Amino acid sequence: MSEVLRLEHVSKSFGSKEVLKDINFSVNSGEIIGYIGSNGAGKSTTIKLILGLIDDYHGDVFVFGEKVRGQFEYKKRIGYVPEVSDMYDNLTAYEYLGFIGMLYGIKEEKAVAKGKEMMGVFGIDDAIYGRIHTFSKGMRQKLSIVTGMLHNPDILFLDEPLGGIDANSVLVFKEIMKNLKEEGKTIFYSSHILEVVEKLSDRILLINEGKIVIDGTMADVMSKQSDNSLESIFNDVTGFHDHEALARKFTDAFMN
Amino acid sequence: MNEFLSLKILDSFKKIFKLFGINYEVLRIILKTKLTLDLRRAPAINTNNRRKDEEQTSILKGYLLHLIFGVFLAFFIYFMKDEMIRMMYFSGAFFFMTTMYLISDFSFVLLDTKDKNILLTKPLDSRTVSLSKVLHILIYMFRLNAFIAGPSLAAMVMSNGPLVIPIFLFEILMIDLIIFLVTAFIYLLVLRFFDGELLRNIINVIQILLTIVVTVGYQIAVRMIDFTSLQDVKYIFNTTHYFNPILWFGAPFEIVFHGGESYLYVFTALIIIVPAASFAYYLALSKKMERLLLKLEGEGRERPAKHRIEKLVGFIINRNEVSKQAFHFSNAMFRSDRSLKLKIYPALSTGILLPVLMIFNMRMRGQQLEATGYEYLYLYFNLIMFPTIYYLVNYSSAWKGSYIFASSGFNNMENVYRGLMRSMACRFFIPLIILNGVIYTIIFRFRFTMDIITLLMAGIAIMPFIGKIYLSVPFSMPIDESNQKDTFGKFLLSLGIVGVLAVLHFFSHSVTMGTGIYLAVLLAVILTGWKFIPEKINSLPIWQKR
Repeated sequence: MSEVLRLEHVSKSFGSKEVLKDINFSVNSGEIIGYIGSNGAGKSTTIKLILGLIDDYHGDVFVFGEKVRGQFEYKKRIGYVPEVSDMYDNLTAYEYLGFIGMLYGIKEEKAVAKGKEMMGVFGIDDAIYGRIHTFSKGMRQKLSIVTGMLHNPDILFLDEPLGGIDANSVLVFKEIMKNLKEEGKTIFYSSHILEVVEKLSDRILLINEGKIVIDGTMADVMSKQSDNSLESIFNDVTGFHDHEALARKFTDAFMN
Repeated sequence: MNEFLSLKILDSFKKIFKLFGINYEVLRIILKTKLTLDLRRAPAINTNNRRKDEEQTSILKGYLLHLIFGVFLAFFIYFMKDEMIRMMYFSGAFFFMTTMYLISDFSFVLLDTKDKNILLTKPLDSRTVSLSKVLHILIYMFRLNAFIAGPSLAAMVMSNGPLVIPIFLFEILMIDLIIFLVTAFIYLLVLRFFDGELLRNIINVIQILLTIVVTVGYQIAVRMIDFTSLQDVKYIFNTTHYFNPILWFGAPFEIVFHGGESYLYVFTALIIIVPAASFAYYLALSKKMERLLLKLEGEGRERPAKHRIEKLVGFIINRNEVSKQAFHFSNAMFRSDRSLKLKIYPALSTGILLPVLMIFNMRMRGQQLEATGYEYLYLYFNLIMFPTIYYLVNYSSAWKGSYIFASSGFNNMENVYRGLMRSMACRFFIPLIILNGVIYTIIFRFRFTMDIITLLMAGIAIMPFIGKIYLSVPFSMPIDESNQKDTFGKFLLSLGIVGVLAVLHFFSHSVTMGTGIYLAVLLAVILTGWKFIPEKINSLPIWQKR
């Protein structure tokens, strides 16, 4: 196992708001990392920064041992499935696959054939000539997963990849993750669905208010906890204990 | 939410609604919400320089163009003395403009299926909900009426006295009804036989046409109409006129002011019967319409797109894989991004019309259409349109997809620009110049053929340079913001380049073999210029903020 990703003292502010505060961690090849945190904790920002969508930050990001600021070659080995499935959605899936192929240097015929096969696994290959904006939320997300993985990347950044996807496809997706791990791929998985994270991940990174507060293997993290669920750890760390009181308050308002 | 005049007027009919068992309070709240939403939605045309905090004044501002049109129309009919001819022109123009505006700005109301999801899940009477939809459209149409027909009514009163007011208002109401029904029937027909995508395309084409008509139409109209001759035109009846609605509307005025022939009474009857009958028919069909509207929610399946010509052209003119793919990508974007098309085509149409207008201008000044020999210089207006188009291709309604340019680590923008510009040349610039060339050839025969070919070469030659000035990552910025950037400096620079070429072209005529030499120089510029296409850094500043 070799190190494929390292963040050193990474900080990032949007205006006066500090989103990431001195983030440090490293990831080895073949790991599945569950990256969790509350809304607005800085998860998506971390991923965008590693991908170079944001390059105005303090500290350093290393991918495959190289500092990434201003670089682009490393991205050929990275796959990204964004949080909201943004795409050039006035194109048809067919046209979009050709376009993605161009960006990663894959010939059109191959990109389309490969994409169609992968779409077929999720049961959406017959929509390949449809314009993407006519797709349902789940179909969009499936296509987003396909286009994010089209170029056989070594590290995958998945930002809430299962939104709107049906239960059967989720099952398939989880198996795919396991297979890819066996092939030595690294997966950086960010999500709010803690059950899935718990089942998939080898290691947990928990970010709270811009700081990494938990970094450990699944087994380690679990053993420190009495009732053995990621959910309760999450609540503990984020200092959230009054869900019952809040629910009571909502119910009261509801009944009035 | 501020108070709407239209709602205050509606309040006076409160009792009537109650009489029919309509829950007026609910109806009013729904309408108020819908009208407020309209304010926050930019209309298809006249979106220039609109800022978010201008909501309060935007009703009036939004209708400024309508008012200009209305005043123009009023002037026009004021000069006519024959009632039939006058109303023929008026109702023709009124039909056309109101229909266009209704389709381009208000189709979303007619075709809305979302408000059903919101409203019908609440405990509301479905009659109240459908009535709110009809009233919403009527309020919009009455506002349009006030601005488009108001000035004409004033003109009519000035020439015929206040007696025209009730007749005129009644006729407007009937025309509105016909327009509404015709539009609904067209939609019904399209939806019956095709899918929602085609309907959206049709609406888009109409929006583009309307924008063109509004931006350049007046200029032509003002120049081409001879006001003095209009006074003498007399109407002559023909039985086929029974089938032409725009001829009906002069009849009541003719009867009242000049006494009438029998056919005038038939016309008057038609004005009442046709809208009434079709309205009854519409009511019978409205259930079907609702069902067909559901098609809009379904997935549009495009027939496996062929685009054989594009594919073939792409294969011939692109030697490398990336530029070929970029060529296809750009073509697909230009084909399918409706908001982008709505900006590009009106700009192009200005480019087509300006050289032609220049020639007409000369004619208006009483000169013969004898060529002076310098008319080819007008064609350089075509090249002046290039910067606008270049500026626009940085924008898209699907701009959020652009993250992929950064996240993929793609670093061959040079070839993307090459493919993009080839696509722009094939789709926009070459057809633009050829079209103008054809018009020129029709007018001047083959006198300027050499100059047109030279201009085509000049156009292709400047493309990489304008590209260097304007292009960033293509389709990467929100199209709604495409009005806001100040690019005057860039435009001046491009104008300078075009100017230099025009001057060179001009002087090439005073040297023997000059045009030939100029052509050769352009050819050399094309061959070298297209080799050194700027390689820009792949940065997407807009993503830094999100």
